[in-house]
Amino acid sequence: MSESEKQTALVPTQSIALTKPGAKSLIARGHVDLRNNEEAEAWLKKGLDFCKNKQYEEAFARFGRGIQLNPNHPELQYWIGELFFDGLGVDRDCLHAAFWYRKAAEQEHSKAQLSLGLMYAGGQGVPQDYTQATFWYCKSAEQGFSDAQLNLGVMYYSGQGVPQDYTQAAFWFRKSAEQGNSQAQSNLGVMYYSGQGVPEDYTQAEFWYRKSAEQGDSSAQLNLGVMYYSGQGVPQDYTQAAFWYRKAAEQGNSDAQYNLGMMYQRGQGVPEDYTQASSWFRKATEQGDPAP
Amino acid sequence: MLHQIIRKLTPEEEELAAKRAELARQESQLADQELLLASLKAELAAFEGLYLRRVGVLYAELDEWNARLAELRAQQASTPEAQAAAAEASTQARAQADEAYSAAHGQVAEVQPFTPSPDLKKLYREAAKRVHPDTATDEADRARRERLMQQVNAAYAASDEDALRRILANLEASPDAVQGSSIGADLIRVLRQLRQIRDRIAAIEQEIASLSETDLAQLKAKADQATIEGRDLLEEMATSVQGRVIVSKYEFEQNATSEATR
Repeated sequence: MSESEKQTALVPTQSIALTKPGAKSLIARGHVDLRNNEEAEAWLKKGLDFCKNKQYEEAFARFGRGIQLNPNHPELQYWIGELFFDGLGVDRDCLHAAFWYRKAAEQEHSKAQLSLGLMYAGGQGVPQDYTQATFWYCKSAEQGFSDAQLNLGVMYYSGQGVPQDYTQAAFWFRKSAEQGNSQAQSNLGVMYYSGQGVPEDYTQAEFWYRKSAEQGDSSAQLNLGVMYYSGQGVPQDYTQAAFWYRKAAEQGNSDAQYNLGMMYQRGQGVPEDYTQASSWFRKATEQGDPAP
Repeated sequence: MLHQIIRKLTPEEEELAAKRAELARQESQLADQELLLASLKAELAAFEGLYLRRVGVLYAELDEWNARLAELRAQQASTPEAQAAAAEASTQARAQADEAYSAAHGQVAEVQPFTPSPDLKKLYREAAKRVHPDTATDEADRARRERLMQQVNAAYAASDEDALRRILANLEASPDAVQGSSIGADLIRVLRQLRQIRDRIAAIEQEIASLSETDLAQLKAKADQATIEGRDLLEEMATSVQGRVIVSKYEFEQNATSEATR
């Protein structure tokens, strides 16, 4: 037997080391994190389904499973914060709520940023601090969250946590209003009506009041009624004034109830009717408004 | 009358011819398998580089903040027991951070995307077929072929067509393997080559199977699937780790500030 024929089965020798240990462990970490995150996402989805069915204890348990797999999941952190804050599926606990909101907020979760801001504004679970509240509203507002833009506008308007600045207030109300936030639309209408932060402009005021009023905001309905009553930005029209006063009055707005009562008393835009008038005055008074 | 003498093949010669045909088929199949394996490895290496550049660096950054935090806590520890524990944790965290850094910024991370041209694949297949160590006739020949095969694989991974052409040109110049002295010896040699090639094909299949079980290959499969769905998995992973980096950095800064104000 020749030399070459004595060879045993040949072993392949050309496999090169594909990964160095350090790189390998970075990849393994990524893979483990990815799998855990996939499972965490699945628990989040299950939890949200339970939330929809108002089975909050079930939901809280699912979110808990998820957060164990990925403690850094912003959406899970936010929802755990929500359930703690509302006391749904778990005993209400503002300390815990603030803790979870903060974790998500630091990861740029815009709803959590607003919620944390609200905790600071109300001193719930954290010491009351308007500067911190404004800081978190601002973070969230800059991400385009319209509720946060509204709240940031209010802080600028009232000078809480920041120096009072009507221009900034109007800026943020407009950002929010343009996204369809009815409260911000109403506030922007007020800014235009009173010329705060923007030039006084009744047409603009009427435009934003109407946007908001049509979405059912009672304060905007009242203000739109006032504009029709006094013929500011629109031709004077008592029927329209009464129409919008009624919309607001039916939602329990006491100023609107009083104004509607006056319309009945004077027969403006509605037939004169003292019974109706006194009924609306009574409703307004029951809410603490001074009698006419 | 002159009869043309037609030499009839002996059964051994027939067997040898059949086995040679079989050998040619197997060699061709082996070249395909080698191409598959080499491509898979190169694709995985390229994906690894991409992963390290996009996600690995963030893990390294995360480890860095954690190590700094651990070091800060080691300084802040008040009791001797706490100091010892914190020092231990700090040493470990620092080692992990340094390892992660060198892995995420090392050579492996520099591997660029692998997109072999049809020419490159053809050249590789041709070279693999010609060079393959499992067609060796003796130990010396085998050793030479193994070295060449390594060069072929390296050239392929580096998408270096010229290198492959040079290797092939050199092969043309070297004498072919000597034919055996007898049909019997030839048959034995062909049979041995056949067995070696079958073994190598089986080994390649096994290597591909075990490669596909690695974290790297599974991650790549998920990333490929995500791409089909229009998602960027590495981007999603990077975002998630980035979130942790922010939290760790924030925690470190909080501790550093409280240290400074003490």
